Amino acid sequence: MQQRMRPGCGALTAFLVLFLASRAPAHGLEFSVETTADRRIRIGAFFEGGTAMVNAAVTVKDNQGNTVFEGKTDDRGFIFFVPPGPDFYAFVIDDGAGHRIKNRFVLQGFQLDGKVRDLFSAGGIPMTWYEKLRSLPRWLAVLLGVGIIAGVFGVLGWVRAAAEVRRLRKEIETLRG
Amino acid sequence: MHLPDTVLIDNPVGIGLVATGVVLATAGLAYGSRSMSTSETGRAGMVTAFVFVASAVHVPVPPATSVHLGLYGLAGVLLGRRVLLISPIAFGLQALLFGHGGIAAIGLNSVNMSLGALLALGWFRWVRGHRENPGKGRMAAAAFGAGFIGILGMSILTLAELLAVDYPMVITVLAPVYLGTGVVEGVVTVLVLGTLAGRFPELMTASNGNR
Repeated sequence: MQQRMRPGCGALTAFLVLFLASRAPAHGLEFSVETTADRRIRIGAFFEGGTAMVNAAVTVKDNQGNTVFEGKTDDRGFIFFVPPGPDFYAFVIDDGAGHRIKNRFVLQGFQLDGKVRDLFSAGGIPMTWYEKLRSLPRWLAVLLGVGIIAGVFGVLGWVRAAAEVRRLRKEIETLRG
Repeated sequence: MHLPDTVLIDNPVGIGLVATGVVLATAGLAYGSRSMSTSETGRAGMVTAFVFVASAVHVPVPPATSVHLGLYGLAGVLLGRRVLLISPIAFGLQALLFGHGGIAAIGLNSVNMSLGALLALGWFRWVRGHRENPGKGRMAAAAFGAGFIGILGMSILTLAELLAVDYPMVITVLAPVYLGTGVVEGVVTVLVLGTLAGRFPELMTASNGNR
């Protein structure tokens, strides 16, 4: 059965989408890795929007896979440790609630309070396209997502409509013939 | 609740689950696409946008976690089996743009969502029945249960999969958090479906059992 959507549906959709979008940020995970003035590494774990990931288990391994540090984040989402020396390090942060961060960072030497890495990619390791996409401003990500959805379903509707027109034309020709 | 791919990809069972999720989600995508008529694409797009954007609304849960809306029950009630088409699209965009779950877990998360949404639809149809005017109380119970079951169904599946990959059992203490989220989802679903059923009844055809 064919249904016709009332114009009010569009307005309702736009209102709800914009209302919900304005309630960002979301539920993704963020982390930071920095050196401190007293030559330690500070790893921070957060939910997107800045809520600290408290009491999350942190494991740091060196490039050979040896565990160099294990501990838990404090109430600000941070954990500090003294690294053995310059190396590639891999770390896992897990809050026990289904949220897990895995990434790497490179320690080439200490710069006092220097930031070892940015939001999604460890220092010295280039960001992937996926990480770049995730680092878009939230409002832009929401707009992009809604635009992609509109495009996908627009194309789908157009393909379906074209197929229906072809079918109807065939039926008409059959009837004429 | 999204299943994170970082938990899955280090574990043989997890890799099996990822592969199964990809196969099932692809099959669902094809089936959902085939079963959708031209006139339903607008509604499907609208619901996909709801589900996509709803995950941007997060609520910190003290002391150390956060939850977000899903609207899976609402999607199931409005779309019926066409939810199989929208779930990989919504979850794919959430993974790519918000980092929810991760790319490898898109299939499995889609399957979990679809099953939760279809369970919610089953509940909605059962409680609402085939009455022309089911009454406000019955309609509210149907909608609330659909919202609650939608998110809870997905959460239970996610918890089961996490336990299957030997994720620490401490995750189960989060059950009250997801029960609370289910209540919020139920209330939101009652409000949205109440409005739609009154003003836009043509959107409710999937929940009536038509197609």
